[in-house]
Amino acid sequence: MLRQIRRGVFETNSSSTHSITMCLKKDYKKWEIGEMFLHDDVLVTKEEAIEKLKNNKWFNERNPNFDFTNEEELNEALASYEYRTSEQYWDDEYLETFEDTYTTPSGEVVVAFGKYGHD
Amino acid sequence: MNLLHEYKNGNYTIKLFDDGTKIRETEEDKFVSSFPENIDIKISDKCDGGCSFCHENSTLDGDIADFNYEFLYSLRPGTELAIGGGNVFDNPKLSHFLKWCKHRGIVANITVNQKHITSQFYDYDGKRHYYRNINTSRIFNWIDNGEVHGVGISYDGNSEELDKIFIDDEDNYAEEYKKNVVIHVINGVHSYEDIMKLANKNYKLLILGYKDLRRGHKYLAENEKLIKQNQQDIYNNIHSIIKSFTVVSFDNLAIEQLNIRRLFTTKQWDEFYMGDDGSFTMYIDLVKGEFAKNSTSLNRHKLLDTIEEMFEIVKSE
Repeated sequence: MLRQIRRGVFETNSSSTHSITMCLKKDYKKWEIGEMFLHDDVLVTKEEAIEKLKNNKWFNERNPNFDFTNEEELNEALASYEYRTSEQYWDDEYLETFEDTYTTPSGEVVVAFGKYGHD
Repeated sequence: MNLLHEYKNGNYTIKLFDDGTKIRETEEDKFVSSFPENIDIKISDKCDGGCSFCHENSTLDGDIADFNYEFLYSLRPGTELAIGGGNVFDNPKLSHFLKWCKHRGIVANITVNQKHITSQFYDYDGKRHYYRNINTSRIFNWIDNGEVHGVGISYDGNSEELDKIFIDDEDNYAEEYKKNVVIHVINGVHSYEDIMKLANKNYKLLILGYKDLRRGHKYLAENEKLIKQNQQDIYNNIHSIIKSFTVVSFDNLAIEQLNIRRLFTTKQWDEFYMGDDGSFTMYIDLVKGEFAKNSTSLNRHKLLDTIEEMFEIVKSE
């Protein structure tokens, strides 16, 4: 006989999480080779990411003398401010991932990708 | 502990008790369900909480659900609904829906944020007096009427406020409702100290894993050292936590993050672990009129007329 027991608590947990990003395949390829970063579900060029970081009040307050020419520190800062490379994005031990491609009526190839999971 | 429901589902039987205890039993070598035991059901996309670590997308101007769906009439007595949002209190038809659930033998549970039940106070006669938040009164009333059974409260770290509701109330009225309540905490957002402020007061605890996504990701980026330290403290002191609460439960993400498996023998674990999503549970978004395996699945479908039809689809995915 099999038995499973949930002790002393009703089912009240309903929260969850998911994300989806859609972009042109050419931008997706640039992201894969490190020429673009994912930020708030949008792909941005490295130059745009650096510009945004330079204008980030929170970052400037904490890093008044930041050396933007130091590639390693710059990449670390970008990652911690949610500018993520493809490698960083997919490195997630908790959430499931998905990726799909489709062609729009005008012939553009679009990639949809993201992560999801639950609690 | 009194039996609330006993029913058959697929090849097994379920007993559900009034403290939330659930027992599944089968003579076969695995549990095969034919309808969901639990449904995570969203009734509001509206919320004014603004929690910095939140990964839901409910907003101040979010929509609320209607309840005029045919499938609701196919729900079996004993089925648990985890009713959530958004802020469930923002749905004006909630009370009516809860009455309807009771009438059909459906076990309604709700999850609320502590912010929405915090007590108010007034000063009188040189003393500060607290009076119960209207939402708390509504919850107690629903429990009294058997319209709500489980109440999840998302803890905001202010244990004194919770104690005011459940322990220090002037008429000692609320203590009896604690058996229906489970306090939700997030591994790392809440520290070991935050959690232990609730210790040894007969609270039930649900520890949720920390999700590094959306607002949760930003919050982690800005508070990584603190969150990691909090998680390590909870990991190191999990035995103390378990000993200090009436019940401690975990979601699957917290089970991984805290390696809860280490605390059990294989036999205990097989009995304790209640299974993955889609085996016994499913998700319904009443706001959008959709269903899926869980709330994060992108493979969503328009609601059908019976729960069995929808669950078949969920199980086949």
